[in-house]
Amino acid sequence: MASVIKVFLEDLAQPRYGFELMRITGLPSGTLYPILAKFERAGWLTGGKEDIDARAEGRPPRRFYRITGDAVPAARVQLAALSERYRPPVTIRPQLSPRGGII
Amino acid sequence: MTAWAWAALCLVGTVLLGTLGDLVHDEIRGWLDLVPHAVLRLAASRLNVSQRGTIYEDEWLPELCYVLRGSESRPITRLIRGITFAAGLLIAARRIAREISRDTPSLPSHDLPVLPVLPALLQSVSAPIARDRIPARITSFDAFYDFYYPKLTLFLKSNDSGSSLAEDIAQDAMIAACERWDELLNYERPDAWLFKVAIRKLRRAQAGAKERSKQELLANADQQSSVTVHESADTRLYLAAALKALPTRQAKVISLRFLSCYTVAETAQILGLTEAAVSAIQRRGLEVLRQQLGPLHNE
Repeated sequence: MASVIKVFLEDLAQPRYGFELMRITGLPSGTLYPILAKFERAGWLTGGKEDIDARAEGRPPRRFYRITGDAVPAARVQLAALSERYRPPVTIRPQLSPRGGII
Repeated sequence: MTAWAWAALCLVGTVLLGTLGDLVHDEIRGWLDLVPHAVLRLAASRLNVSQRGTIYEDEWLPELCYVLRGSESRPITRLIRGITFAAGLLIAARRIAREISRDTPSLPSHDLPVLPVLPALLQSVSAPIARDRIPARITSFDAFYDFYYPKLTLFLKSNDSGSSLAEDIAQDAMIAACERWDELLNYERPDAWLFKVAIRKLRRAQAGAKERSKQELLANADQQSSVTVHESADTRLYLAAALKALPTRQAKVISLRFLSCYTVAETAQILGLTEAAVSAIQRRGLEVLRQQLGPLHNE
């Protein structure tokens, strides 16, 4: 979930499509789409339709997602909290210096 | 048959075979293109009828068309990507349908776990309650997080022997709250929901640790002494022993009142009791603790 929301935070105005998100995050569709549905239900993401001429493109317009303004600060806080949670502990081990003593 | 006739026959045969090969190629290509669509239709059949229009026709199908067109020059790549995309949705279709149609979660009313240790209570019994003012109405998740996360962590630490577990559970509960923030905004007390979710998660975590012995619990309680770092190990053991005599309901009330700093009314709402009942339970609990901690409290 964090990797998905991180993509949206990288460019707030950029609409993101399902297949594009799959390629960026490396998540399969079976994992990504439940996450998108969950975020949309929570009001973090909002959906829209691609503005294309379907006949000229030869395909129907895709659905895109954008992060909502209200979700941006909450998402940043959550990502920061997750980063803090999974940050490895810093351990400083004393090492012997070539001239003796400890560095 | 002359050599010219053979040559003409070979030429016609070559042309015919080439044309036939192209036809077979196009036929196979057309059939292969149908495979991802067929898998996607199968995935759509796992959705509710009311959801098929919005999910399948507006989202999945256009995306599959884009996937297939985007790599149209490479038929095998196109086929693999299309089938992978559709197969993933086939597996997850039910989950997606559930996510979209999910209503407000109803939380089972679990009891709080028995408090193994409550060292901060000693100060609270004698000192006036230093309670942060709860904002009248929190509308942003940031403010909600900033205000309730420390309280929830403190509450969980007081109810569980591992401080890292308490922080993990508090984070998980906050993430759950964040995911349902729009729904929580409609609740009269979103913090009550948060505490219930955290308690439920704590109970699950504790269910796997039932075999821990009493001595291990007390030893772990020592590790969470960040609340009262000035107390000695003997004092904490003494407090733990005193709290073991406290009934569960009294422990719940006192924990919410004095560690999480909830008012009587808020505690009553969280536990589903009347305010009078909370006051009575609190009074009885404090009396028991004063008796238990009497010699220590007087020091």
